[in-house]
Amino acid sequence: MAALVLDRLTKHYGDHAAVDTLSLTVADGEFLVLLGPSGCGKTTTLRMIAGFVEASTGLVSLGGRDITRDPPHRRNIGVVFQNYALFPHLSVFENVAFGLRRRKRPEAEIKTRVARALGLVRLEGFADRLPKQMSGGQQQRVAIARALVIEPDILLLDEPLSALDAKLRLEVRQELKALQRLLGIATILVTHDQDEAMSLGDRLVVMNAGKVEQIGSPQELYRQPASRFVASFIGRSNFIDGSGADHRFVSRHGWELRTARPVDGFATVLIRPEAVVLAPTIGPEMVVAKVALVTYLGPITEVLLDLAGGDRLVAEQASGGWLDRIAPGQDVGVGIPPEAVIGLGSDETKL
Amino acid sequence: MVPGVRFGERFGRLAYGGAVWAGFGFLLLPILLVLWLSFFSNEILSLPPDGYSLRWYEGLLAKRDFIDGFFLSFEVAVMATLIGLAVSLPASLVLVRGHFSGREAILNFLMAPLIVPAIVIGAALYIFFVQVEIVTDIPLSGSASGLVGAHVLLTIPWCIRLLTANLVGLDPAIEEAAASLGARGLIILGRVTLPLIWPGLVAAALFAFVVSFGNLEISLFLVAPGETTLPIAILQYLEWKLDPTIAAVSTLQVVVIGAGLFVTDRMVGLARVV
Repeated sequence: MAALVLDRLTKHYGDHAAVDTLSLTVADGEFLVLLGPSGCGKTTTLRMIAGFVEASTGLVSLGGRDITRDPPHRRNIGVVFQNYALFPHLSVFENVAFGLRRRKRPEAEIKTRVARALGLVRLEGFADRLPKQMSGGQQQRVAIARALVIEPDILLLDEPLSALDAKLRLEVRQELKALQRLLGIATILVTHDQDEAMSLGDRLVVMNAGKVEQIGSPQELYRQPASRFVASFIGRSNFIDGSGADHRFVSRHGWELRTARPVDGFATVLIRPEAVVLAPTIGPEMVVAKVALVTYLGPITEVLLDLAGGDRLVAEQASGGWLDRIAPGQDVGVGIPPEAVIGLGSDETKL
Repeated sequence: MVPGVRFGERFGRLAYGGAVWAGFGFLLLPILLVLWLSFFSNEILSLPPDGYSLRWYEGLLAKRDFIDGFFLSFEVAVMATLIGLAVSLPASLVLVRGHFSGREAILNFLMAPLIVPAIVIGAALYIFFVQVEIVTDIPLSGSASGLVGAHVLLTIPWCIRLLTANLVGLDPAIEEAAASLGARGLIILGRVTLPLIWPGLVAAALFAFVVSFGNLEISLFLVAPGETTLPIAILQYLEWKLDPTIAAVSTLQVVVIGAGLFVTDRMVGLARVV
């Protein structure tokens, strides 16, 4: 069953539509990520689900009940904020107990449930601390415990990791994922960080200018992006402009590529940097390219290539062997497997 | 080692310290002088004093004007503070949290009592109250409610300024978190917002009280015949006499306000308030 359904949800600020007829469904236990640049409407969407922002039109339905016009305190939704938003004047215990006290649970039940929630986020010994006596990572874990202890119908996370430093971010990210799996709670996370989105989401919703650009698993979005916007937002990309016909694409500079799928009518194709095949000598189905720049990144080496016709290409290859001795100015062979050439619709006409 | 530079630095520091202490002195010396004067035994103020006594303080107890004035001022200040806070708190919440056109204009309008000279406010309110009385038969001028209402006007800019300053520093996400956890508006206000802006609330109450307690100009127009607030009693006394009684009254006033500051400091820490 669907935990949450958004039906043509829209938010207007004056003439500007921050969120424009957005429809999507979150399945029970699913981890959905709203991904997009700032101002794309992802946070407004989350705030409409939580009830902090009133929807202009459309419907929010949680577990089958229409909550579009319900105030936040009647929605039973757990929210974790970017800056933790803990109650600074209350102890960790009282922070976590807050939602249970509002629900008038008996004191004994509050004690056990708070203890269990703090156990989940590994903060058993911290109940008496004040938030300001804890590190950022610990505070965010308190915030997660506080949101989970009320057994919400859905968990909303608004850029929950962006206030943490890089190392901590990875740690809390893994914990969050494990916790979500363990509890099987439907979750929506908002982020502009593609790594975070890819690593956490079962499905990703890429948003742009208030609209959904594409919905899919991380693999689908990476392998088969619906638009140039999605491709450039997720992973690194080479975009080649030109024209396609049948299984053949010819770049503006006359580079001919064979494609696995027909590319009739496409004006742009995408080639992921790691799909480019490099060879020290020019083999069959290869063209010659001059190495412009080499960046050694440890496990992989990044090579910027100038093709004879004028096309420019970034290639990423596993380091080692002849690649460790590659130098700018050198001629190498470049081949593109037909299945790695992906036709892209223009940003206006999505698949 | 450049001796010239070191001399310059030392001179600069000395000049800075000197300016600070001179400023303090300018503010404190007259007050200390009043404290000292209140214990002089001679009736005509002169230096050095003939001797010291507590007779002016004893004399105060016999002066009904001062005693009544003190209690009236105190009552009016407490009422004006409470009402000022009660109307300023919701106004501040809306002004800080709300998004609507004219926000700035309303905020500036509410600051107006600070800008308009108090004597003008007093005169204007007196005329207004009289007109209201003519039309409605409600006797506002010379009534306690009229006086308190006028003092509420005085307290509003201070309450609004201090409360909005505190509310701006309060992350709205904290209140949203409370809402998402199941707290209704009033519960959020009582359990989250008020505890977090407590220093601002105490500061607002303190400033409102002091401003009302010490106000002369507005009260002058609005007190009932025969009734006086403490500042009016002091003024009236000064018109006839210039003996240390005034110094004794002023000292008491300093003590009352000082006690307010002390209690505030104990409750929330003055450094956090101002």
